[in-house]
Amino acid sequence: MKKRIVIGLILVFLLILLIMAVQSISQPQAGLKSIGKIGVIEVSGTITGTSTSNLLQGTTASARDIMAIIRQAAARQDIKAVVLRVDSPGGTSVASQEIGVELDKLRATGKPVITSMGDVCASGGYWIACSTDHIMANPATLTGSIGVIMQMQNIEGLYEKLGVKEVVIKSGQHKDIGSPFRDLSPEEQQILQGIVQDSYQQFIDQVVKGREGKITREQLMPLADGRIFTGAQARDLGLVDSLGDYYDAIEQAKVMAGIQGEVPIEVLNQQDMWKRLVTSLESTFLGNQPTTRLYY
Amino acid sequence: MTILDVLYGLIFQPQGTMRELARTRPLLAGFLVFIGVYFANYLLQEASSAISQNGLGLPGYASWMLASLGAVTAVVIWFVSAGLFSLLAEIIYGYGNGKAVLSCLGFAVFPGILGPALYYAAILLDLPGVGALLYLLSGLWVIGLQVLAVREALTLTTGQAVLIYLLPMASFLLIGALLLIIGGLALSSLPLL
Repeated sequence: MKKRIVIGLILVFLLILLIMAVQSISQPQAGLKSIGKIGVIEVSGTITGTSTSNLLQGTTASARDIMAIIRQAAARQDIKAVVLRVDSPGGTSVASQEIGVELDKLRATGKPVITSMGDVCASGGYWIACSTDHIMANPATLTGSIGVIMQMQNIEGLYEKLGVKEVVIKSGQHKDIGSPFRDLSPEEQQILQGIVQDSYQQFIDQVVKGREGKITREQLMPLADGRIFTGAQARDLGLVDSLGDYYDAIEQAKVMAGIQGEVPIEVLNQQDMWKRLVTSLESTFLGNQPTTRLYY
Repeated sequence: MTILDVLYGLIFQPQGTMRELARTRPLLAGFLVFIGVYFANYLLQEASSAISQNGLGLPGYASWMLASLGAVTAVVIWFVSAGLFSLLAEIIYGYGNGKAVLSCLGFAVFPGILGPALYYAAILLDLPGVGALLYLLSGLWVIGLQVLAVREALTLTTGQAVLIYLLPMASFLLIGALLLIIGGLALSSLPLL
């Protein structure tokens, strides 16, 4: 009987630890100690909807992955503030918008979010920066590029040389709008220009909302013609809040979160070798076909 | 002897329990204990790494792939070790009993679960140093039990069991050292630019 009690206690102790271990793996912050942390989310490369990176292209920042990490940062009790490290020339409009929306939700939880601009934080990169509480740039950072672009190719001439003729059967007049096999009609140009203008207006609204009290719509409009600025120029124009490097942004996060002393920093979306390899292969071989998209 | 008696015996009466296991040779139970301890240890180690933020950061599927690969390797090593110990005992002392060694070695890893478990508990309590010490002690405990397993399964003296236990490892080390020396000599004779 004594034997059964002793071994039973040992097994129960082990079982409890195993259950806690499963919790720790699924939620690394679970434990008896709860130390506040500054979470860092890296946004590097072109902001896209899905793929993380492609072996044949440069680095891309997947909105899907970044959104998942932002939600994780919002849910984790040990993350007290988030630094968004942006080194991106922009990307697709929807991907930037989605990241911006998730950042707004993260801020709504009361956790301050600070942007730290790297080499470039332009266009879609600047869009997402506008969804943070404080924007910090390096003096030589390239930022701005507030505008929308839609690019298409016309390879009709090439097809002619190859002797290939495209046959189109469509349900409506504009179903093949943006086709690379012919010129745009004036009407189509007008439709697409309308889309670009509407998207541009959304960008303006995002900046006005994000930079409220720092720059007015009237002050912004002359700057929002797609031009780029250095970090120092952007600070003077009210497009960024302060100048500083990555560690200054961490300090700013600590101040805004009310944290004193040393605090652990955790890069929340640090890519491990396995994931990078798998997603690269996935993206390279199963990646989406290029389509006409709006880019910030 | 029930499984609870065996597990209790492994911790509190190892000698008598090993002798009984060598006699009854419960291979399937030994395998289940061995593989159970392996996966429990893996889980606890992963949890400790997750908390102390020094893990490999593998995604879930890669982590379990690695664990499964490790389990297969561990089982192969378990089989090869048992075979080697039995073969060496047969060559040197004229008596081998592979199945008994295999069963006993399977059970001998049981206290090894306490190391990662206590280490994990220590990490939770922010006492990593104590955890590391307990981990080491549990490892030494398993080694002691493995020697006992070899001794009881092959009816050897303690000295003979230690010799059989260390001989394969010592041979591998010796061969490794020899290969290093030969490789070094070969490299040193190459013309340098």
